[in-house]
Amino acid sequence: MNALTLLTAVGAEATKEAVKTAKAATSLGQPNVTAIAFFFLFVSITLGITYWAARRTRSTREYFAAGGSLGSVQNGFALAGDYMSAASFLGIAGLVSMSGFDGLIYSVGWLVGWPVITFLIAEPLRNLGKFTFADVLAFRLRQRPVRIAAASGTLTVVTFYLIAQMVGAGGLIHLMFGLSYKVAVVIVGGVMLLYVLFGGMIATTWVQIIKAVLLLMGATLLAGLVLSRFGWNPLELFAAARDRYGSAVLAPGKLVASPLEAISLGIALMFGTAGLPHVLMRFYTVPDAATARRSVALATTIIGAFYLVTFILGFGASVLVGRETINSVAAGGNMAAPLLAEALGGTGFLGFISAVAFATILAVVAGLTLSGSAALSHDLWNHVVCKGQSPEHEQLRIAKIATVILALLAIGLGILFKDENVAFMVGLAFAIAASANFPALLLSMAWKKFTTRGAVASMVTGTVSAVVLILLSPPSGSTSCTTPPPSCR
Amino acid sequence: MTTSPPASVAQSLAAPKPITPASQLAMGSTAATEIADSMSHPELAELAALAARRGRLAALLTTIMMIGYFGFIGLVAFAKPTAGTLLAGGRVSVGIVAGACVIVLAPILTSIYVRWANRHYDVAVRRLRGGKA
Amino acid sequence: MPLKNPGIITVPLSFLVGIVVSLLAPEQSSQDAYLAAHQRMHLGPVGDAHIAKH
Repeated sequence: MNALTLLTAVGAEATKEAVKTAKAATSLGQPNVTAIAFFFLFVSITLGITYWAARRTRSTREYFAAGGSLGSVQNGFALAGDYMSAASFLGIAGLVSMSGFDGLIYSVGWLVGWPVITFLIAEPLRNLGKFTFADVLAFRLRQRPVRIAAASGTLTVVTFYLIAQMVGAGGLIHLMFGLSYKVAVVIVGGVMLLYVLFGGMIATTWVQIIKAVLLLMGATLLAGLVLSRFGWNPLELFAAARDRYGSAVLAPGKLVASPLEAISLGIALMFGTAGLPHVLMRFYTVPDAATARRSVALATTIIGAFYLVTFILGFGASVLVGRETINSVAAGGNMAAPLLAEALGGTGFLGFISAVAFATILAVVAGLTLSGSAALSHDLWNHVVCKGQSPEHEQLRIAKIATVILALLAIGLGILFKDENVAFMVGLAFAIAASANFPALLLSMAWKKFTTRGAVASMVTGTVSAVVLILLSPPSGSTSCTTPPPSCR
Repeated sequence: MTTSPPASVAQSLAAPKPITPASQLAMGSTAATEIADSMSHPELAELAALAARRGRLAALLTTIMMIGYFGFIGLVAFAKPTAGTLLAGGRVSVGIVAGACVIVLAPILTSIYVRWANRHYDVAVRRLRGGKA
Repeated sequence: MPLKNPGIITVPLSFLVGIVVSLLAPEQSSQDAYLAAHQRMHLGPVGDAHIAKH
């Protein structure tokens, strides 16, 4: 019956479009054989890896930190895979396709936190901690207060980020595969639960590596197909966009309404990245600080290259697919990249890109859940409740219970917050990470006179002030979205 | 105008003044005694100097990244007409070039840091650790 | 507050509160342990099996 309503919807869409332009025919939203085939291939390979990883996951160190045995290339790709969400892929390509230059503002903002992590955070974090960033604070401050505060910050960030990813996932999968919203959310939550519950960090890492490689390959191939039509010169592509939409497409538009607003968002994006618990946790999967440093440098390069490619995709879609068509399929332009893939590579390529977008969401959600599980089991259960005396097998059991709870929570909240603005949630998550986690982490590593009370006060102030100010903020119903994707609806 | 409060904080924190071994030993606490037991005076001095050097480089590179990024944001926010000025026969704008430069700047700065750390920092750390074992 | 993203207020505020509260009530144990933290931050967990590899 879902397929039926969907077909009707697509039919109506197609009829509407056919009136406007002849190019509007798309198989997007219909069950796509290639997409489903690629998706099953991805899920079966990753579940195979999970089975293999489960046999190597017996201790908490293996569960939370993959035994600290990853190399810098592995962790570099996994970091990139953890970070390059569907929001950045579909959302930025969509924003660029609809408004040109403005999308670049977000790409830049999402990248510049990475050098900050490299210079200030990665190495000391690796050397001082075990599984969570709270370990760093607890190294010289009083365990229980700082762990409670840090775990609360972590769980707040994880919850908002999870809701954003789940709501985005439901919407995207609904559009791409024609599954109903609820079914899509349950599938994402369920598959993610299998990875994290049985395979822990080892499985999560490999899902992220595979996803990062697929996403880079798919996006680069697509950008190559675009550029091949413009003599391999991005300038010719920009010129074509300017000819079609005017020179405003190359200039700042409506997105930056006030300078203060832009700088404020910039601060949240730059320092928020350095306070994201699932990103910070990845530095414990490598054997030493030198490997952590090399892995974050590789991740910075991968993510930077990816954002340049995404910019090309956005312009390519606006020229080769057209804004009217993109906007008719999904308001806000989130389907720009898949539509471009269909226009240039046919239904098969569309299927591949759709499956990659799905895989992207799975990898990010798995990383988030694992970091929430570590905060609950390692910080709260072991160090706060049991004062560090909890036996290994019990910590592992608590971690798995926490994982199940978080997965159910993600599914439930994803369904409950169906109509919540994803941009709003992502903005909130970054603002909390930047103000609750980053200052306390940096001060504890760099300032001798930092105290337990100072750390707790800083984390509580950061969390509360960010949440309160966002609740008081103007409703984002105006022309622009705070953050683009995955749904600026 | 592009300098935000965290810039100065991060800068002053990331580059702590070198702690002299004498002041470390003067603490007399358990932690300090532990270190004093396991590390000699020259080693403590070397660690302090190394930490200060790493801190200065990290602060410098972070500052450059922040100037680049907030410079770009400032250009887009305060000087929209400049950012929209067309270049190269009208095929690209100042804003796009600036944004692409900031994106390229990030991996360049991290690779400068990694190169320095691989060549100098790791060697010094290995020597200090070796002296302990 | 007319801001959509509160970063420009909350990040400096969080730093400020952390610094002011720390200065108001110093904590000797934290200052003492900083030396060990400082050493470990750069040299890593010295003394475990890990170091033997080098």
